[in-house]
Amino acid sequence: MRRIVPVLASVALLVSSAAIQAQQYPDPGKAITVTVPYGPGQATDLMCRVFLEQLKVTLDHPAIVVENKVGAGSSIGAKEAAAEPADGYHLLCTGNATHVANPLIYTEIDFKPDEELRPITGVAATGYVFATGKNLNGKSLKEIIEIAKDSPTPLKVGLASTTSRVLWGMLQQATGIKLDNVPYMRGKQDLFPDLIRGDTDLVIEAMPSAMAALQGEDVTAVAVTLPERSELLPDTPTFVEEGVDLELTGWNAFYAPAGTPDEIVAKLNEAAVAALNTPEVAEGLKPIACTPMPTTPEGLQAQIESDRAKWKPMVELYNLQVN
Amino acid sequence: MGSLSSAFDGAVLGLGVALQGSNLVYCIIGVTLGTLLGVLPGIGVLISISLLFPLTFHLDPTAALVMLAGVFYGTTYGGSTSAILLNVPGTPSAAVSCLDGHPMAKSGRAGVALLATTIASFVGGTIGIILMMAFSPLIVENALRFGAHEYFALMAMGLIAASTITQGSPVKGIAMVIVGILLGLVQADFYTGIPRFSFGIPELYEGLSLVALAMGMFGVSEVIASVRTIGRAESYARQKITMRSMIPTRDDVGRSWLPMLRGSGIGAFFGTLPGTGGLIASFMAYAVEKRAAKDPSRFGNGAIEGLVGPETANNAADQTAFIPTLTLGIPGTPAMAIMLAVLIVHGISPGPRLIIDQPELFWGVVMSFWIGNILLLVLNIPMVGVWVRLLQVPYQYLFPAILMFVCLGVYSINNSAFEVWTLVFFASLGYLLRLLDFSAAPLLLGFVLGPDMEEHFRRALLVSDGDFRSFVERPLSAFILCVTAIMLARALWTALRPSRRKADDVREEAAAGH
Amino acid sequence: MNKRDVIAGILMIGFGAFVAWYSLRYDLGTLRRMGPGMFPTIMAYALMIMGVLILVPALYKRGGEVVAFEVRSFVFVIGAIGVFALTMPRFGIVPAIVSLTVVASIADGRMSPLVVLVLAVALSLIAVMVFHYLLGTALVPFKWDP
Repeated sequence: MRRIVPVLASVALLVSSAAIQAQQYPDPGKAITVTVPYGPGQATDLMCRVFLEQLKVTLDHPAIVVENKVGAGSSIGAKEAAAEPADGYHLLCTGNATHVANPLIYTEIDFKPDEELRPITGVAATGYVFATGKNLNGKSLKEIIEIAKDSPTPLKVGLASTTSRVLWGMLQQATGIKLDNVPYMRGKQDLFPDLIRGDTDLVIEAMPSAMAALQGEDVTAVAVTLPERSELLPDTPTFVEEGVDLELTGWNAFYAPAGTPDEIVAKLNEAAVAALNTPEVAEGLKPIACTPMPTTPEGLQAQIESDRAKWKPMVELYNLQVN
Repeated sequence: MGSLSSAFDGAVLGLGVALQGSNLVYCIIGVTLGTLLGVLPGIGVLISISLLFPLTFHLDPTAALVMLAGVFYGTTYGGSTSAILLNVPGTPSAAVSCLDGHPMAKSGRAGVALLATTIASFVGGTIGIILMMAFSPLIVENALRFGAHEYFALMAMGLIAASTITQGSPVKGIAMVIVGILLGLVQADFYTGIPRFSFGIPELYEGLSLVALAMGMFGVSEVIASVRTIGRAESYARQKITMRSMIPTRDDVGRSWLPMLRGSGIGAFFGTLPGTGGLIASFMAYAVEKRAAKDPSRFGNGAIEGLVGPETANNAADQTAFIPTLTLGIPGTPAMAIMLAVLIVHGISPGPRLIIDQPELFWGVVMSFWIGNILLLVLNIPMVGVWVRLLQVPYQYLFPAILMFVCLGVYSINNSAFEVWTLVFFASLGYLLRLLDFSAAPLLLGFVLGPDMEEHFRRALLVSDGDFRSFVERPLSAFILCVTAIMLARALWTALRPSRRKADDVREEAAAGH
Repeated sequence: MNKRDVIAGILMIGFGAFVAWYSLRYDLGTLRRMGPGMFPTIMAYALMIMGVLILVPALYKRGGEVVAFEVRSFVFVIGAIGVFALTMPRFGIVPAIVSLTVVASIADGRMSPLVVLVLAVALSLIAVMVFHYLLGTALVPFKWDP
């Protein structure tokens, strides 16, 4: 009986200190390290940095440091971030590939994002654009589909990422046309020049990377994969508008290692959503053709599930798995 | 020629912008930081720029670009410094400078080498700017003419040229190029996405680290070879350093001006093609100088032409690489991608409109590159004395320091020990190849260009529906392939010709005499 | 026999053969539609040819003494880097640099332990100054994460 009091006291102390820790989060003396598993200057890296700059303000914690860790299409950095202490000072900002594409494609890597990470909020979203160059300039989506159907050899479409390849698959499924895929995994810089020169007929590319090329008159955007028209491309219809059932956004999101206390996650979500709703972030994301995507942790998980449902059949159909 | 006069106006406008107080300050900061970082072996352009990138969020776009450009230059120059002094290329593109720059340092001519590099960089940058000014629209048009076929041909040519760089048999050079290509092929197949030669290690999905290769094969293997062969309390510079030995001789100057002109041309050309850049330009320049020299056997032993030509080419290429980045939005290298990101983050979309819509920004940045070059000159000439003193540190203290910087530099690329293990691999490989009289430089180029060459080759076939004749049907690609074939034939011929033996024997005797 | 070049040639042939063999597990495709394995295979064969071109003349020519393999230097320089790779992620900059210096100094073998220690400390300080404070990278002076 006498034991109970000290035990209860210690338990109370432990619980309250955890609560106090969470209350005092973030501790001004400790830096928060956010892993970004992409190269500095790349689209996803920029999306994360614009957001994190504003998070410093809304969380009132200037010591937020970005750590770039490239490898296996973001899986290596994500896995390492998930293994960090779950104390709220080690976080992850990564693209949808980590949860959606990679587990389907890199089946050999022992990383289970659903178990090892917990979602905080979405960060930013962007669409993919379907564009024409020298050979098919000025044609609408319907016209292109017709040409594709009538053409003796399939039209060639340039693709520079795995997501583009999935879109290629989805497009062929949704329209019944066949397109030859010309990959540009390493040579991204040739994607649009080849289109301009006429070596390829079409391109499917993420908006951030496509914006520069779309400024010129040699490349025209035909359709976007967003649910609604983007204000950056006001004259470009969405696929859905044009009667093609194709919709996919690329997005990135904010995570913490599994086991991070609920109070800390809630606090981070609050500050993050506040940051994402500021005009600074909206303006900052515009040049990279993104829009803010604040969500609840549950909302983010739902987005992940819905994307997986779209990707799985494509990966299987086109045999995109690796090993 | 209206374009030249309007370009000139632009240059004047730009000069005004570049010389504005704050921009000038940022330029100075960038160049200084860049040089200091670049000298530290292992810290290359990419790391420096990535580290300083967050700072640019708070600056106005011109200042941000100016500073980053300064860092870019400074790092390249710093990289050459450590290549000359320590045989450690601070940046991979400085690898060629090791070939003749380091022997110059070892024979007490470090001061001359460093001075020559500084001046060569300045000349390369200046000529690069002039070419940019005069031919900007032409350059852009030119760049667009190069498709997969042409890039493949160009890279094949560069690689064959690289194999002639070595002192020994070109056959060994070609073998090294191929080994480099094979090592470079350790990465995901571009078409199917399957990781190749990764032996189940996820860290290898994206390939081996170039920095680890450059540091390991050049720097660390040099350390291994030198640790016990350099006498106790001796330093690298075996002769006494006198004031006189730091000043270039008339002979040096006479030998240098033509290589500088040639190098500028080569560099300016390759710089404008996105995806090629300074590395291939420096190799080509070296090969050209070696071929053009009256006595090619001097190369590899401290021939100043072998240092000056590539350095000029490198800088000219760096300069002109801004053209496709700024006007087409196509970054040629990862470092350029960051520059591009800076622009984009500040809401500026690069593109053909940039010159028209924002002439102050465009020309301001271009001219500040030039100012940056001048600053490099001003900053580094006094520093040459300091660097040369550095060489006099007894080697037993110097070599752990070298190892320290290399290890930390490599580790900090990805905050991962895996890269350091890669360094171990490359250092061992480098030492082994050195013992067998192979040269690391062609391997490095093969490593960098190999995968790109494969992708261009396969894409060329995809685009022309599997028709091999397309390589010959396209005039540009046919021309380049012809040149390449001639170079290859020449290389093999000289290697297998009987009279070659004489030169080899002479070398053997010289080596044995040491 | 040019011993050095004979070894060199054999090495090239060996490496080429290994790559050619290993590439078989990747789809070769056809020459027109190359699979992932085709290019490495072509390069591997080319390398083997080069190896032969190095090996055969070497069997008849003179000269080419193999430069001595500096065992001690090799083992302890490589060892130093290896020790660094093991120590750095677990214990941070200072322990890593100290161990690096100590192991590397064995390669030289001519410095007294005191000198080595002073050097190790000096280098760690420089490392921390440059990499932690000046550059602000994520590398920390001390860690405990074994």
